[in-house]
Amino acid sequence: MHRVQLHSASHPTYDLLLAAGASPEESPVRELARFNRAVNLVVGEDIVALVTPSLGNGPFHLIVDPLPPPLIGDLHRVRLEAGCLHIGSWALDLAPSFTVWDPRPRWDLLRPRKSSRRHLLSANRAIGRPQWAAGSASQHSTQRRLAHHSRELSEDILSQDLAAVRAAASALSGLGPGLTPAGDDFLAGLMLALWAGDHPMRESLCHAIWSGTCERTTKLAGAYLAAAAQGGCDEKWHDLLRALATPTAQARAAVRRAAGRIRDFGATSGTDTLMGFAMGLDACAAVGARV
Amino acid sequence: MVIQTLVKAGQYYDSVTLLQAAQALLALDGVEDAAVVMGTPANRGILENADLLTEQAAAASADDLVIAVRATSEESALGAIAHAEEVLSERAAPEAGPSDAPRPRTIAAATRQLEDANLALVSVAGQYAADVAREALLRDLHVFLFSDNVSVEDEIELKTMGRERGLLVMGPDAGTAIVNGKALGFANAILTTPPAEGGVGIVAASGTGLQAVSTSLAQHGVGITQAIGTGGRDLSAQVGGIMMVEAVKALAADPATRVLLLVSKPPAPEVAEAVLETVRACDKPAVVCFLGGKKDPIEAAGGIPATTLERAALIAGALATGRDPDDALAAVRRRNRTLKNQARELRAKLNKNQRYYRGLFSGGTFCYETQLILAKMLGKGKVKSNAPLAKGLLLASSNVSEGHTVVDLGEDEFTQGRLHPMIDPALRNRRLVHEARDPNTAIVYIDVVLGYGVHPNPAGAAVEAVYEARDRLKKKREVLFLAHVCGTNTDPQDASRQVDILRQAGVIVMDSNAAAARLAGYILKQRSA
Repeated sequence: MHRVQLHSASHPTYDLLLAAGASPEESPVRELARFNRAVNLVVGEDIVALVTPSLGNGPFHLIVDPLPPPLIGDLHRVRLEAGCLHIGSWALDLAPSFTVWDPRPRWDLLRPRKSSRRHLLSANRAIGRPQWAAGSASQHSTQRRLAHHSRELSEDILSQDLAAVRAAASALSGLGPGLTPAGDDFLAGLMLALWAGDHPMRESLCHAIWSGTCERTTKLAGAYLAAAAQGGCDEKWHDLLRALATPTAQARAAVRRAAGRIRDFGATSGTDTLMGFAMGLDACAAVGARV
Repeated sequence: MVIQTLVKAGQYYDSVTLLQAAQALLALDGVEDAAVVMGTPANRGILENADLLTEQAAAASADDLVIAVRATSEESALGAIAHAEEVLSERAAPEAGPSDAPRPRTIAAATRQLEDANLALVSVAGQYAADVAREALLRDLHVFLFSDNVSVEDEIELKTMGRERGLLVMGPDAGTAIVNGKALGFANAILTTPPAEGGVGIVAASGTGLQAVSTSLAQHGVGITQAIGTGGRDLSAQVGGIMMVEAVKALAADPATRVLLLVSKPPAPEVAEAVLETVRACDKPAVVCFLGGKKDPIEAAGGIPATTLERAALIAGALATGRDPDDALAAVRRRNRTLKNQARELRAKLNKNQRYYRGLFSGGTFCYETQLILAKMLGKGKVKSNAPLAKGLLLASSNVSEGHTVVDLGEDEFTQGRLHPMIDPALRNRRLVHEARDPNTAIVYIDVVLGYGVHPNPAGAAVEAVYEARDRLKKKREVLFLAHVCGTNTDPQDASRQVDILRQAGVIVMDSNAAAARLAGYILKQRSA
């Protein structure tokens, strides 16, 4: 039995594990990938990420310290008893400060202010689209497709054509390098903006985007997209949304700091997500939503 | 033509790792195109269009990693696939499980693991950097502070603390240093004294300035003792040159150092006075290159002024090896005399509308030096920049050239959210193609900076852009592509190999940034004459 401390769990993930724990049988749980600061599990059809405190809360995160050793096998008993979450050979002891964290921000209270939105757009202009190493035909082609389909998606959102939105999202999904491909990062950011900007068609647009991505991307990217479609996001995004809604003179610096922390996430993921978010805010502004 | 693919289930890497793996494959002989991507339907579509899709790759799932190579022979293709696996496994190695020895997360833990350490290299987010540097100083460690976005107040506090404790604080935003033969940041493989002949001690408030003089010394067989980077803000009126003064004192007291070499943009006047005061007190020859600064105060302090980085290195190298600096400079004068004829020949290749210079720099000091030289040759106020000599010469948009333009692509506006152009030249390469397409462009210049930690083949990346630019011009006109390689033959990229790559692509390669600027000046001067 390997014991580690569990500091917090996202609400949906905690519910998922409680449901798995309700069964006396072993559940399908397997390790998908292991990194320096995270271990991704597939629990049934869902992704659960054990992350170190430096990564912070996320829509399907369990914050543990330290990361446990590899989980061998595909079936494991999950149970919560006596302040400890057991997953196979792991014992995740609930820390005294253990919290269940809600990945959905209070969207109704966190509407980006127009001035803050300008700060974000200015920060984004400075960032620009991630510049990938050029030189191969396939890389050029990926860049061209990303630019083309994101423009297409922007136009389809403005015309509120759900079938076209779904098709454009489908073309973007899974496009680009990495574990969460650039196209998916862009879509996740876009959906968060539809929530932040209170777009009048946000649920239907998010559903169209999410359904366009099904089976077209990696499991991890799919999990982020599913969360974003329901208005769920990382703690870093909560910080940015708070900064965008801040009426104080310090908003500009707060927006830049928060956007910087998002940008630093992953290799290019943060930047791609911010680009999608900026485009989504534009789409909201175009229909007179509250941004 | 042969296409080979390898599909690996359950292998996950971040985007940069996959891109770097792909770039490593593209640099191999015989490889025409390569991709290392997750097997999503969209990426499989890209592979198909790029003629990289095999049946095996077509059957990959979104969670499979696909390595695809198109090569001139089966041997090259298979070799490339094996190389990709090696690159990926190297990147994966540090991500092994918790059984690995713990990596220190704090200065305290690091000093416990390495009790004899006397220097800390700090490269953390700017908001935390000052605290980490402070802790290092408290533990009697010299500090190389690579991080930027450290406040000037913190910088003053850290440097004052360092001075009081007899410790160096190199940075913040220090790009390069070589301490006791150890290269820090973007440094090059240079010669050190001992064993090499020489003994030049360098203090520079500019990363590329330091690289330029240290590589030039190495190319002439002259060794350095130490190369201390102070960070660009050290010579501001606020910071007062605290570290340059301390570094000069340290090198003055170092028995192995025979000649001092100081490099920076012109300091604030009161700071220049303080620095030159230490030069006056030093009993060793001191070559001072305050680019664009006045000679008189340097000479009055007993220093030897140098107007360019190239001249600074030649004078210091000659003094350190007992040669006459005039002899060393004579070669530069001879070369400069040939530039006019070379310029005339090159000018004949341009049409009458091609009259502008476009310099795309990864090194800020090269950008600055070029502006100084062109201003002298073409007239003040003729060259615009995002990092101009005077406020009135600031580009309205850094992305849009106006007349003669030099752009420092290492400035924050270009590096936020992106890798520095010395590491990832993609942005500069795109700009190169764009500038070449402007019918008024006569010359496109690039500085190719080598060393540890920078792009593995910057010349190779640049010539692809040159070829693309030529393809797009469709022989309508010829644009002159000019370059200078800052590096040594022992750098990982091998300077002579980089020069060959550029020359084979028809790029005119000069042996210094100053020479390249002068050649451009002559071409454009003759054009406007």
